Amino acid sequence: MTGAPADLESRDERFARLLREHGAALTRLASAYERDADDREDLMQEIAFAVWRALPLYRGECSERTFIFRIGHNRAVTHLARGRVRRSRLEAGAVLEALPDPRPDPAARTLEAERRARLADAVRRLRPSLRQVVVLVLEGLPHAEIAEVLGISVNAVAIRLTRARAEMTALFEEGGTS
Amino acid sequence: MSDPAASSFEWSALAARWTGEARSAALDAQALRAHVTREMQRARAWLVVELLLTGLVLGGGAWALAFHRSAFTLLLTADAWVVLAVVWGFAVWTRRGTWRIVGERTETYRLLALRFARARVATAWLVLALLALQLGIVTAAPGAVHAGWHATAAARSAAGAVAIIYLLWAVWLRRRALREIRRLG
Repeated sequence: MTGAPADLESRDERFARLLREHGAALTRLASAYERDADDREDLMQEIAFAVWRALPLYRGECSERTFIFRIGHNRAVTHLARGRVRRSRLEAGAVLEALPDPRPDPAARTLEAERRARLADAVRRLRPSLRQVVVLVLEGLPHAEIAEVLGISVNAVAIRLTRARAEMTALFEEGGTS
Repeated sequence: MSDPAASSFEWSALAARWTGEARSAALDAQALRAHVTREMQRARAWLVVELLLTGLVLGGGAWALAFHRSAFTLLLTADAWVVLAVVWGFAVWTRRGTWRIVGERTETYRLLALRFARARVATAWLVLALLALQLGIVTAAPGAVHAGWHATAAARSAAGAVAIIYLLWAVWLRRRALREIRRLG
């Protein structure tokens, strides 16, 4: 973690810093739950509000990254359970993959965009329990930290990853973008 | 299967794709902060409305007892105050710890979210029970009270409208909470 020591920061400064440091990861997390841009924005707002409300309760028992991922996944769980899901108005994987790609070669860009779309769609089609583990693995968290975020054992993380791998392989093989 | 990372299933290659530059757009932190401010204002406004309504019921009851004391106003005030106490007690009990849990481990959070969803089902049943109780009191009240209740058509219409609104709200709340329980489970 970077930035000023947490106890010297105001709530506002801390909130801004956390969004700066983890905002991209939270955006990707939201994209694992919502394909539609409006739905994703709704989820991001819910997560941001939850982070704000939870900040005074953070006592440093875990890393800030763990804390932020917990809040992100928790709000996503509620978001899905409450069914605030509009029917997607876009083709599979078309939203987050619409972000600009800086590479000059159009063919390479298209191919990479397709692969990103397929990956994002496969992740979204996993059951939430597997999706959570996969998102955290893709964000580069070690198994122990994933277990800490989700409140499951490291063994359970490994088991879920094995299942997720099997399901994602099947999704990739069938094209994964229905 | 033209994707090597997918075919050999290399998590690291997939992770590079997942976190790649093109998928890491910056957040609009200011817009999110503005949203937080709006939500906080809305929460405060709701609290003020709830407190005002509570004050209205308490004050109105006290005024009725002081200046229009009768068997009818006594029953009406006692009934309103008891309902108020039950509703506040229940609201505090079901909302306790709501925000504390958001930083919990996800599995713990899921179980707590299930508990809160069940509490919302209980809230719906409580509302239905209170409505049934009110109906029972009105129909079974002794003569003087009954006459008082029927004194004005406006009061009856208002009470009926409120009862219907609460009934519909309870049905909606219960359906929504049951759906949430299904999905969380």
